[in-house]
Amino acid sequence: MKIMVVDDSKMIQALVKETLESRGISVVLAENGQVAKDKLAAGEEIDLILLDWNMPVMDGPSFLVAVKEESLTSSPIVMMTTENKPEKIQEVIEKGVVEFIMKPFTDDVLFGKIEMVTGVSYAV
Amino acid sequence: MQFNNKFYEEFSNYIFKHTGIHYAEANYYQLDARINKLMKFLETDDENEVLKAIQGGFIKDQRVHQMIVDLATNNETYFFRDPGVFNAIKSELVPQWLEKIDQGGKVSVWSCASSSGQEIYSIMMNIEEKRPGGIEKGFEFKATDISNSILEKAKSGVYSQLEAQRGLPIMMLTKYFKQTDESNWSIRDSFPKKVDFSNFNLLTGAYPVAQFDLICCRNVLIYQKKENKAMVLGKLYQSLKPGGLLLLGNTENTFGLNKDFQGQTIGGVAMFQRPLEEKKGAA
Repeated sequence: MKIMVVDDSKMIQALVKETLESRGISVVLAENGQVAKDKLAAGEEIDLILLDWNMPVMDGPSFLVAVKEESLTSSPIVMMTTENKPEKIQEVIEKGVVEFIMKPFTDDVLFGKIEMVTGVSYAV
Repeated sequence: MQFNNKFYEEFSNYIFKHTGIHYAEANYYQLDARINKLMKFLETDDENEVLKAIQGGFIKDQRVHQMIVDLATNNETYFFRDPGVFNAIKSELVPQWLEKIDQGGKVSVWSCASSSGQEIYSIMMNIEEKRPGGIEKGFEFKATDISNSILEKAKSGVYSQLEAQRGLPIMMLTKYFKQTDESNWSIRDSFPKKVDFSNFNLLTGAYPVAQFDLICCRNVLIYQKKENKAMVLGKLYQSLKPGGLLLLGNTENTFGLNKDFQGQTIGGVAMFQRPLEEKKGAA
């Protein structure tokens, strides 16, 4: 499985990358929505996208709109953010997000959500 | 902090006597954090004070007793733990239950070591998914645990943001919960209101007779000695209605412990049935 982590925080990038790779998942990093969009447009094949909300250049919701408009991917997108208001959650679900991880989270939440979306269990 | 063996022995004996959970000598180190927590509660750094508190296996202060029970029991749980089990409940059992209720029957479900309530609430969400408002008609839900503090939490129906994310799909969170503050989510009021919560010790409690369609006792007996497992299984059998089902943890079964249960595979999940027609001489 290959997952794209779209987050401007270097710390989150490093932590999530290490956690995913420890269970044999390949990771592609992107520091904002624009970089992620360019990678998809260049043909990068991804099984799942973990997407932050607040990022410079292009934020999560704008990324959702852009990939939909340009049909850049059919992979499931999971929001991974400190935003946690029900109306915010609803907003991105309407834009195509299939799951939602609220920061802070633990690795079992992360792998639990990956399993919910892909059906693949990474439980240890 | 390390303690002497005599102390560990007294402490683990107390736990065994009151909860049936057996700490072998090799596992005494697992008690350290629990003992330290208790000493903090008692505001002492003298282990003799703890010994005094549990002397003769009797604790005068009920709060200390509850605290030791809380410390000894494993409250690990989350929503829809083992998704396969809940898929089977939703696709196989819930339709049968609803049919039974539509024909005028009653359906009772018991989560016998409910911890903070995620198991019983997951079952209730499954029913609501099949029939909105379904839990209100014909169902009875019972949730018991040995720990009062965890029962209080179950009753409150309030979960931290982290707990609310464990096992729970976001659509279910937004549908059945409301955000109470920045970091907590509370389940729909109608859920805890429908559940009969009470303290129950599986080793010593008086079991209801022939009352339940489903009993969940998942990953509870793994901590018990063989004779206690057999005893509890025998009593759970009697608590089931004929035709009722017992759900154990994925790695558990009744083999070698109880001959009356009939193994069934329902929706790909092993369940243990009290047969409708009992064998002659069965308990």
